[in-house]
Amino acid sequence: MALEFHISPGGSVPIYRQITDQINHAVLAGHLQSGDALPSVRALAETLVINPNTVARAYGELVRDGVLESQQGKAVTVAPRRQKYTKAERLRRLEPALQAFVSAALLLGFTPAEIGAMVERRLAEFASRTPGKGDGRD
Amino acid sequence: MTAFGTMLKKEFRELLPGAGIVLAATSIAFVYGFWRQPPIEQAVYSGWGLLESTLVTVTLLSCCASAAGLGFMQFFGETRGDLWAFLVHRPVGRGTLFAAKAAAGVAVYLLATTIPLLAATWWSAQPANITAPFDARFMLAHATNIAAGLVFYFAGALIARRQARWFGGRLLPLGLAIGAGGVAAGAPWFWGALALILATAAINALAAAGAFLSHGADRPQPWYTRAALGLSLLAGIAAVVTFSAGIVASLLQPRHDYRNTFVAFLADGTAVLQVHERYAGPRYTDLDGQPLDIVPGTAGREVHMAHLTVETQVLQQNYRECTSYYLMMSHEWRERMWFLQRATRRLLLYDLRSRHIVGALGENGFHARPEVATPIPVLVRHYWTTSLMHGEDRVFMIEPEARELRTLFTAPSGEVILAAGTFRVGDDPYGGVAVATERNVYMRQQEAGPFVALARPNFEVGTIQVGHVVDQATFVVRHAPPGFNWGLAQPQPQRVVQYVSAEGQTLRTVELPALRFYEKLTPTSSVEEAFSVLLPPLLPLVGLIGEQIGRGPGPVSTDVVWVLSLSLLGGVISAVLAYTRTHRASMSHTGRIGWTTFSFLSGIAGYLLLLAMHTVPARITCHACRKRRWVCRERCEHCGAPHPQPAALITEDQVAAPVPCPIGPNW
Amino acid sequence: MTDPVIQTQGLTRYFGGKCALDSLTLSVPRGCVFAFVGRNGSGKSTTIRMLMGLLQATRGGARVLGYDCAILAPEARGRIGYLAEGHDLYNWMTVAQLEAFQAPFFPHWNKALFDAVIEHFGLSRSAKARHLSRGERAGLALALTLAPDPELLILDDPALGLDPLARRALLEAMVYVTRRDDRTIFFSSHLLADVERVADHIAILDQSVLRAACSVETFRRCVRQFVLQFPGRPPTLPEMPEILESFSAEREVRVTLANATQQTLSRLAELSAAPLREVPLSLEDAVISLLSRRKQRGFFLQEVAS
Repeated sequence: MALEFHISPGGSVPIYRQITDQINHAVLAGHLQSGDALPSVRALAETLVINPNTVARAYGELVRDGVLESQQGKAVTVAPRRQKYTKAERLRRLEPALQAFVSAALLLGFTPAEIGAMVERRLAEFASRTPGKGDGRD
Repeated sequence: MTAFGTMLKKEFRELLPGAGIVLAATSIAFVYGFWRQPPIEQAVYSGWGLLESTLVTVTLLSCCASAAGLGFMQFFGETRGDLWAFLVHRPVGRGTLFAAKAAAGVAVYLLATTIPLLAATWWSAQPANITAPFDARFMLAHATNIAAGLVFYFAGALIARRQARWFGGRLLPLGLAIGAGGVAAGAPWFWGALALILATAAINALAAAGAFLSHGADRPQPWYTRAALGLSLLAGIAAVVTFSAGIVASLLQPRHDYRNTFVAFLADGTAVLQVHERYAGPRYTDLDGQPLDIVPGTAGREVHMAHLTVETQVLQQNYRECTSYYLMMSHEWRERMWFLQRATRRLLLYDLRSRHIVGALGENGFHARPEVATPIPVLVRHYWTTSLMHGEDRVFMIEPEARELRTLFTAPSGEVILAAGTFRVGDDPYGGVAVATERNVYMRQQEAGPFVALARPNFEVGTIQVGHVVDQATFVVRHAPPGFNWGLAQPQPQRVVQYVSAEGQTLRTVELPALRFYEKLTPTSSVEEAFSVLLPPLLPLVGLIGEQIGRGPGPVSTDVVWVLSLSLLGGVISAVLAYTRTHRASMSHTGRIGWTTFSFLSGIAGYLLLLAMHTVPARITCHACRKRRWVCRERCEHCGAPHPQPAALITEDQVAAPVPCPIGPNW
Repeated sequence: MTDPVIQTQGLTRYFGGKCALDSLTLSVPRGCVFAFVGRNGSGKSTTIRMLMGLLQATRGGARVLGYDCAILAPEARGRIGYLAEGHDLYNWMTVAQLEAFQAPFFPHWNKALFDAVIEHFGLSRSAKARHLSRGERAGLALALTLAPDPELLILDDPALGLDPLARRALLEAMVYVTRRDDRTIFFSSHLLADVERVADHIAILDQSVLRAACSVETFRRCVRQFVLQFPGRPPTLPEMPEILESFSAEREVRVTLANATQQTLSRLAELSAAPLREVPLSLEDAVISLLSRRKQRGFFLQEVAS
């Protein structure tokens, strides 16, 4: 499978954050499955023309978050989905995105019902793409 | 290929156009010099062939100019910041880079000048090309010319590399080079001149190497390149100071009044003084200074004298003059000319039309093949004796028609002839012959006449003048001891005039007064003397001490006192200036004392050298004691405080240590 | 391996009475890509020229790879690749001649690498340096700098005047050098997007004084921007050392802070009518804030427009 990264330096999001965001999104969207190997740090750095330390940092952060896993001497792979944060922590992390989404939707004049329906529909799409793991939420 | 070889190759390739220009310039100089050679009648004054004076001057100029240009172009191209960085940023020392560049430049210059020289030598050695005989040593003058170019080459390199604070200062190394050119043009000894020129070339080369090592800055340079730079600049500064002082003095002093006084003899044999003053023709006084009513320049008024400079030295050799190799004899012969070849002591007969040697006259007579002729025992003691030759025991001359030698005078046994000359008798300009030996002067009035001996009462080697007074049939003989005193303004010693009858009896003797050959009429406190402020006090001091030692203790003339005290004043001013300057330049104690002493001894030139060699660092207000402090010193010289270290706003220390990354960059 | 490859101590240079670099104390660790950022004339090139032994320091000193910079030894030069500003080369030489001139000096000349770089830049071996475009020249100079396999690469504003393609090729070459983690790159640049791509450390010079020297990440974490909101015309903010710059608009003030502590933020929060809102900053904005000299300002053409 081909994972396409798009790096845009000069923005307010640091490059390593752009990489982690894109990997997170790919994992959530099912483009990356558990056990899939990611390109090596060196290869990704040379493809994207960025400092290898930046890639290493992004991978490192994802390993800490449990999204990726690495064994010494082997490629970095996508980890099996599991949670290592508490509910409160997860809520805290979700809060900014939720806040931005809800205020944008209300500002654009959607009704709460419409918003609920859109969220439902999007969740259903994710569920259909990742049949085996669609029930990871608690 | 080694680094040195690579560098050489690159330099040769870069120097190719320059080599072409040098080659063309030197060739043109030779062609021009040969093209405008004067006729043989002027060769007495100007020389001929490779040694013709214009040719020698033109090749000297072209060597110097093209070498300076070559050196400048070779080094100037790489002074631009980034090309310089590209050149020096490689794992070899800058010394090696400079050595390769200089080796290539010198080789190219020598090739481009030697090839035309060899060609010109070959051409002028061919019979029928040059109107006078050839000698291989004619090349030597050009060899020193080419060597002088080396000094200019390194001066050009130094000018290209060195950064001076004011632009004119960059040209100062030319001073030493021009000096070397002067040595080439003026010094009479080949090896000495060559050694001097190569020494100055080495000084400029070292200075150029130092400028190359430090990218044109003052530092960092080894002490010996700094010393060489100092010498080179000092020569330039001295030249500029002398030249500008001379120009200013001559501008400020429109009228320079002087008086020259000589002894002259009237047609009746009376000794009088001939006085030349500025803006006036000669006037005559008697020996006591009373004016005489004589119209100057009237024909026949004065006695023509044979001027015998009685020297034990053989005529000094000057390798740059034809007279070192050949003396021209018997100028009146128009189609053929006699040359005394000094090395072989043969008289060569040279045909001016066909430009070939017809044959040689030796002790054993005339021979068509010159090598058969045996050497003539001729002593060449003075240039003026060329029409009349003498050996140790006889005086002789060439009989041109008969192609044989004719003996005029044979010395009594035990006496060695020191000088011989002719003087005018009546209408015959060469009728009178005078010969000086160690003990006697012998004179004769007309051809085939008897020689009269005159014992000299107070013999000293010096100058003897012999003339003839027609009406009274007496000889006039004047003796003077040799040499001049220090400076022409000192009274010159004069001895006696003897009037001698045709039989050799001394009729009367007149004592001559001591004369000042040169007298200055403007007062000593003139503007010109004021410029001795610029002189290094060392020079008049050494001169004065030398005079006191050479002449024995004696009174010092007011001129010397003036010059000495003014130059001492200049030395003191320079020393004070240098002391304050070295202070401002943040120099060490030893450095300050050294420069102050040097500036005192060498006058304003020493102070100018200090200006040229040391930049003054900036000063700022000390944050601790509020006084002015140097930026180049770590600690304030007043309060000892270090410079404040500006703190960076954002550093790694201001955040907690980052979480170690579990993934290395080599995954 | 842990000793810094470049270490300067109070490095200072005056040109006449003008200070070009004031007491720079900086250390560049081995194996990093170090960006040297500052405005024109802030002393970047002066620093690099002193590091390369091309310029004499007025005061202080520096060591590169453990060698004293004042008299940089030839063996040190063999281990440092230096790309000077402007990429001057011998104009009369062809690409092949330049290689033949350069290679004999360096024992580890990597011909394959040289050929790869000049091919990447599309250079013909018979082209004369005189006839190359700016980008091609830069490529040639880069090839000559990389081929000796230097331990430390010092690039003086390598991207100056390059087109986007040549710039990208330059960055690729820099990333290539980092393949070996004992290789260090020290480069100066104005292009902060490039800096962000390849650099992991950054040093910022402002008017000959070092203002920041840290990892890029630390720098971004230390410089933050907040918005204070006010009901009417915003008041003048109190003097605080952390404020780099503040920008007053109609009803709000944007404040850029360096090393802001919790205390700083609460003091500012007290002034503001609404809770402080953090605005994410790009690297470029952060550097501009650091270099902007006027602490409090509005849009600088405001007076002109009205």
